[in-house]
Amino acid sequence: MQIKGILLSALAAILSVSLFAGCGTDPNVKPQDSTTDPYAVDMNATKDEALSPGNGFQAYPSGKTDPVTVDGVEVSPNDFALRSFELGYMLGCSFQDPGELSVDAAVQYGMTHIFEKNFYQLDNYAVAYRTVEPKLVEEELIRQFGKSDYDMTKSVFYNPTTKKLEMWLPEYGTDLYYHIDAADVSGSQLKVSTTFYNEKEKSTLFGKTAITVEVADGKPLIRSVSTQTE
Amino acid sequence: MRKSLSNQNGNYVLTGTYENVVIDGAQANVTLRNVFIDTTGKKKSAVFVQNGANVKFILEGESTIKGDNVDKDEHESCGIEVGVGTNVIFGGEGTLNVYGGRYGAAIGSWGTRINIDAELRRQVGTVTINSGNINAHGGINGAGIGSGYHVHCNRIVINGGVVHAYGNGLASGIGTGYGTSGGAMHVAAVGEYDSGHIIITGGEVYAAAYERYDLEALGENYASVDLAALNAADPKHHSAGIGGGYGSSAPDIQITGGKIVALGSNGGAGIGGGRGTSKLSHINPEAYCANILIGGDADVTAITASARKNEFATGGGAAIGAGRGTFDCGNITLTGNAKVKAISASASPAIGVSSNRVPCADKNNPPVYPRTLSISVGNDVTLYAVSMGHYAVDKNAISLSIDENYFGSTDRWFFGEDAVAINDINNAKAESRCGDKTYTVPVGSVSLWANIIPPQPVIPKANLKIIAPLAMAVRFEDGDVKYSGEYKEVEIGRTYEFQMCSVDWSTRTENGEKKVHTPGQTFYPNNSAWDHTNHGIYSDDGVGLRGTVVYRVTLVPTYGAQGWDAETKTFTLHKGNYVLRTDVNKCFMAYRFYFKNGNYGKQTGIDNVVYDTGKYPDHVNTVDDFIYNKPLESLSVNLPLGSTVTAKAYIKYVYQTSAQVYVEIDSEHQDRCYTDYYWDL
Repeated sequence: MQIKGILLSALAAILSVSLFAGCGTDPNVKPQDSTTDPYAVDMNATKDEALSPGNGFQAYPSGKTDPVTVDGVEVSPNDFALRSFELGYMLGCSFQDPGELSVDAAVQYGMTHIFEKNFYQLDNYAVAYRTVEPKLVEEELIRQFGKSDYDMTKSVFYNPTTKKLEMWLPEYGTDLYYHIDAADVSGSQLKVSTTFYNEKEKSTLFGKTAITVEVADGKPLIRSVSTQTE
Repeated sequence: MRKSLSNQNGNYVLTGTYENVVIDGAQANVTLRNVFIDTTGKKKSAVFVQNGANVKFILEGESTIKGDNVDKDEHESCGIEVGVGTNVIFGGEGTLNVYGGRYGAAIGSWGTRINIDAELRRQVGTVTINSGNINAHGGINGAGIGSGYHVHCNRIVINGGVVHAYGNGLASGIGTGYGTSGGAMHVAAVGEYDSGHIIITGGEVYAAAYERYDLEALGENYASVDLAALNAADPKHHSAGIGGGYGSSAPDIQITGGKIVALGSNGGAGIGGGRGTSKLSHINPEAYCANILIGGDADVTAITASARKNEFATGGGAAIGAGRGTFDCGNITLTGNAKVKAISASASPAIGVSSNRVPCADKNNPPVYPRTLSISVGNDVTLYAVSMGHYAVDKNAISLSIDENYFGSTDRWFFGEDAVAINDINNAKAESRCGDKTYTVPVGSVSLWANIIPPQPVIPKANLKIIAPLAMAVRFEDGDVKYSGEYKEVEIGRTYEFQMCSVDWSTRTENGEKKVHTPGQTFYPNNSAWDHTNHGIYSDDGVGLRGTVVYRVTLVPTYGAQGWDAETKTFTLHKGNYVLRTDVNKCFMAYRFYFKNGNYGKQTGIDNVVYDTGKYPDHVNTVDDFIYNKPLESLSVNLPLGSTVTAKAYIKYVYQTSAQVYVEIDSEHQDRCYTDYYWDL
């Protein structure tokens, strides 16, 4: 995905709410006026530009970035805001359950995370071939989702000769401008709502995400992701 | 005439001819002025220094001293026998030709064919050479300078002069005589004889296990030495040039100055230990060692050869290090500003230990190979190391300290101005140079020279024609991007990895020139216009987009049907049809964008591919904008698997909505390479 192009889009802030499950944002949504949206742009939000410095691309988060306690476990809303962008926009996947992810999308997500903690920090200019044991990707997906029911031998990334997964790392590297609007805790669940912008000044809207995280066995696990696109 | 200097301190001049000379307990300066001493047939040493004598020999003119080297007689004889507890120093500017007697060194100790008790084996004093020209030729199984048969060496120091020293039989040039093959008299094991301390700080030292070559010339022309000739002519002396004789250790060799050329033989090191054994019962693994330090301004050339063809293949001794048939051993330090040339004419490392298996009780056991304890090469050392079939420097050393800049990227390393690498010695077609001549030898020949030109295998190549789907490109692992109709030169037999990319439709390459569309130009591809001379562009810096799926292509040199393995995503292309057809296989997905309520007047764009609004911010939603590259009605666009695109919907070119689409194989129609996408508009 050419995130650079997306972020340069300076269109009016017209939002459409996605209820579409699976990869690809539902196009069956009518444009709406952004001013009526509950996630209105907060132009006065505090900027915390130093929170996620990278060697190349940078993240510019603001809002509710402080850790919150969920079921006795400290959870970083910022981490899951980033995960929501990765899943919702970089992979184009919204879901109510991680099992809705296609095997290829799941493998691409898990495998990329093995090599880069935050996708936005990937170096787009260094086209890198990577190969790993499927078990490692499975472990990564279990770490993030609490389960991995995928038959990775069915993935387009599986090489039956080497019995490994292989992939050219995707060109996800980009600067990220976002504001964490809410980090709501309810029981063992945390819902992080984030607004993403096209530029550092956070003046035009790129889209919104909501990610639900549930703490189980002392670990925060991703349960659902939804997106709203301008 | 016999001469005896018994406890008579003072200065003496020996000239003329003597039957033998004995210096007993004297503190004496003895000038050897054109003297001739020969004890042939007399069963004694020509000169015998004993009972704690300290003697400085001052060389004047040219003198010759010969021990009794008559074969089959049972006696011990040296040229100059340096008894236990004595010190002998050589100075002056004259020449001394000295020959050992039977089992004895030319200068050093006597020897015996019988193993003697361990505590009695140190039968020699110390030898120091400060100047003069000394040509030392060992007697049968005796070193040139050092010890005789079955006797330890002690301490040899060379500070100056020009020294030529040659072993005889199974003895070293400088160091020990024949130690043991391990079975002699069942008394001494391999490694238990040692060459003591050998210290060279200056002068010119030429030492070999045998006397055949002009070592000065060998040192000068080390880079064009005929190693095959060395191997073929090797007399199987099993000993080091400097260090251990057969079965002997070299616990302490320090070379910190001077010019040194050393030649070992048949499993003995050039500088280091002598040949060991193949039998576990014959060696003392704890005793055998080869510790060498070369530093200062020393200029050292060490060569080892092997006469046995099987040992050429399985490994003789190291040029600097241990001999064949030993266990883990050796601490080798190259430091200072030393210039070191180490050349192994067999399949053993030039610096390290033999590549042959360690001695074992049962050769049916899995082989275990020895390792060097440590190798350290300083950054200011000038190193030329070459092996005929192994690492130039034993990279398997237990401790290895060497600047990585010394290494090449291949499996075997050779150093020096003309250094090269051979990956497959058994199939190497070697070429060598000597002066202005170039020699080429066939595969399997051992006739290789030190200055080895790497085998230059003729790698068959072919031009691979790339056929890509419309508006797509193929990006190879080396970063080379090829468009439909273009060719890429590839090696036949090699597998190339590649990925698929979509080009940016707003770009064009016309006859190799990159262009952006201008008003009036056709702005979307068609089959006739988009070929290898006129196409859109993909590049790693953000033009177009690329997929994540790994594909491969292999060209084979035989005729046959084209192969495509969907599981491994590998093309196998046969002779006569080297065409990579990524257009008819599942290397992409064609997305067709439709509108549920009719397509008329409705368009779709794809960021970075088909109308990227971000690239024309000043023209957004203006009619003029779309003359360059506009969203299209009923857009069908080829996209690479694993990419995520931002698709945007327009009605009469007015933006409506967008969607992120992860490009993947349609799970319900796995065989299709197209999928339909419907906007709810």
